[in-house]
Amino acid sequence: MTLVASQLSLTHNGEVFLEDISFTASPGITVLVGPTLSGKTTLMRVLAGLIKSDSGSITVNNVDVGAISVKDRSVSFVYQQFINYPSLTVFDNIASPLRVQKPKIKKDEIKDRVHEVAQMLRITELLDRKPSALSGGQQQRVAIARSLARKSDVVLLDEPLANLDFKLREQLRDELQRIFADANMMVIYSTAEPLEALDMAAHTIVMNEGRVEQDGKALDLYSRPNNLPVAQAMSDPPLNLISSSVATANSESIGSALRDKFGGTFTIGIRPHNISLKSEGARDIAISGKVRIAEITGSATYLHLDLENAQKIVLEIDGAQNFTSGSTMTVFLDRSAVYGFDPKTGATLFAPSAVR
Amino acid sequence: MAEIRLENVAHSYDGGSTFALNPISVTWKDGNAVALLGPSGCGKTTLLNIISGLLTPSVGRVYFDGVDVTDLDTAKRNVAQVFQFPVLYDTMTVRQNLAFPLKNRNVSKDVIAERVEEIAELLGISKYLDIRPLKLRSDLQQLVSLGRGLVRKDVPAILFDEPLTVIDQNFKWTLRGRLKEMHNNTRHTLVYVTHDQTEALTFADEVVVLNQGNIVQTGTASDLFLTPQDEFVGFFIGSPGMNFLDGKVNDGAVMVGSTRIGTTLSATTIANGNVRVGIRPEFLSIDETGKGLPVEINRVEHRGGYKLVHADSVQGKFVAKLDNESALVAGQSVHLAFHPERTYLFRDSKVCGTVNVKGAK
Repeated sequence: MTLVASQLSLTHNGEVFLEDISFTASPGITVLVGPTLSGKTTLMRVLAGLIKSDSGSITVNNVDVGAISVKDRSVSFVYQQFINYPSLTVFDNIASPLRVQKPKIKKDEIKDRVHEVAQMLRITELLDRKPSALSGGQQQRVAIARSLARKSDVVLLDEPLANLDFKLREQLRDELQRIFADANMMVIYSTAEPLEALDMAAHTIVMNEGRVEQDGKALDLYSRPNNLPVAQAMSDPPLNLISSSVATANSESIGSALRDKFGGTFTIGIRPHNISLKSEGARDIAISGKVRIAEITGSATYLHLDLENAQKIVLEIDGAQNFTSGSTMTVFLDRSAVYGFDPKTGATLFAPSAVR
Repeated sequence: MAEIRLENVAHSYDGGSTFALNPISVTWKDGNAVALLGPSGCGKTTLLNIISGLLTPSVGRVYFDGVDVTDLDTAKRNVAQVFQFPVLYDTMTVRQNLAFPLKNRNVSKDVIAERVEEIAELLGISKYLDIRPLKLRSDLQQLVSLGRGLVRKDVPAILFDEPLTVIDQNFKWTLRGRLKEMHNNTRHTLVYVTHDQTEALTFADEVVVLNQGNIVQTGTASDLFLTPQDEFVGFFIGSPGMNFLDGKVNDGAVMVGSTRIGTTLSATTIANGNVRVGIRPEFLSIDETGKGLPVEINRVEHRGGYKLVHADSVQGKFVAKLDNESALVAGQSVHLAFHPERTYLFRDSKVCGTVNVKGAK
């Protein structure tokens, strides 16, 4: 079972929404990662048949679905803003798509399927309630249950956790992973959060400005991004970007400190946890900056520093530490965790050899 | 700017049969940033609305700098508010929207112009000043909305209700930092409602954790992370939250299954019997000596900068946050060591003691 999207493009009023998108999804989870407006939702709508692309094709199990009407496609869609029928009970909400399916499904089987998915999503005790009596997390579970009950070939989840509380998100993310791991369907899951892709350790596609930038295992995209947009999409907290001309503490430029890697001026990318307060190896690169603020979460401290030429970096330090705003300090970039990007094209010039 | 004091404030939406907010009495210092943090339905928005005057509490009084404002409406309380979604006038430009709260207060033209530029700069929206807000993306609109809340300096307090919900993930980091910096400079009294612990912890001087209409603990980010007083705080703060295991105290020895993980630090005050042992994923490590709690690893998540190791023990599931160097695989049996001073004992969901791990054998 596979879904193959091939050369999908979509332009509307001169604005490019999708540009030459091709990928293959197998049973299990495929994660679409990208910032707001990168084209994730548009792509999902095209995959669902809700919008037609200008060109390209979509095949599911070798059948071109382009000519099949939306209601006859074996596709389910779960939106960011969960949608349930307010006047129906949870049971009827989940059962509703099964009742209109052709060929007709027997009553007993509908009941069995509803109970099966309800159990998976832990909402069995809610089946007699109306959606208004449920919390947001419970409502989203119902919406997901409804999409699973249909046993569609393709399930599309568009940032399904975005509107939920932080803690609920954590919990539901773990559960979805467990549920979809065994399901024999192609699940396309979009998110703006790289952590979700890493957590699911699934096939991941990074989108940016309507294009597929890179396609692979989440951890590979994290450690070996093809270009800057991929590195940024796979970093949270955000990747620090510094020009290689910024001076080191002993007044060389970072570029010259990395001369063995690449000559000329380039963009340095380094993740916040790879910059430390004390040197951990002789080859670390020391740079000086001025403390702007420190944000303490208890488990970590995010230290914001101003460098020369209005450049800024953020450090992630373990534990809680206080700093005086305005004071000058020297910090150390782990040289083995430094990325280099072409300042014009954004292409990756060099990347760490191991995951950092 | 004002000190906010709540005296025995409680609220019921149904005439007293159930309470969304149980009686609370607190004082928030003038100039502090306070975050109200909790899951949906915990009472945090109810509490915020009581402070803003959108809601009159069923019981209790609200004071701004010692003045009873309980019966004053929002306009008379003079507070600034920022909501979850943008609230803007589309007949005005962004500049006029930002200027509006000042114009209403008869602030001089020059001061308005200067202040509007200053706020626009802080929020990175200077280039949009002369267009109408509906032409902007929703996250930019929300920035304008934020700007309107921040523009006045003479308000007793600025109240935020989940203001960063629609802001892009990456930009949230920048914006949070800027807001904090602004607060460091102006020392407005801020009250900030959120379900996002990172927002609350990084932004606030004081975080108030609410659950089911009660304040469960108030403190700094470090207090809540390092010394949770309640199981809920252990679970809700931290990502992932605290691990809890069933254990026993037996004459000062703390047992998990048949492993003695340590002794109680205050042996005389903890009676023998069942306890819940709480430890954060950050404070677990692999015990190479083989004395620690035996567990079997069932899943290793690679999160880039670190690993989350999920393990099963006889007394429950564990998650440990370990660095990338630890080479562990699913199916492996290892022993876990508990961090001294960071292992807590709970009874009836309240902390009742700390474990001295040095007493382990």
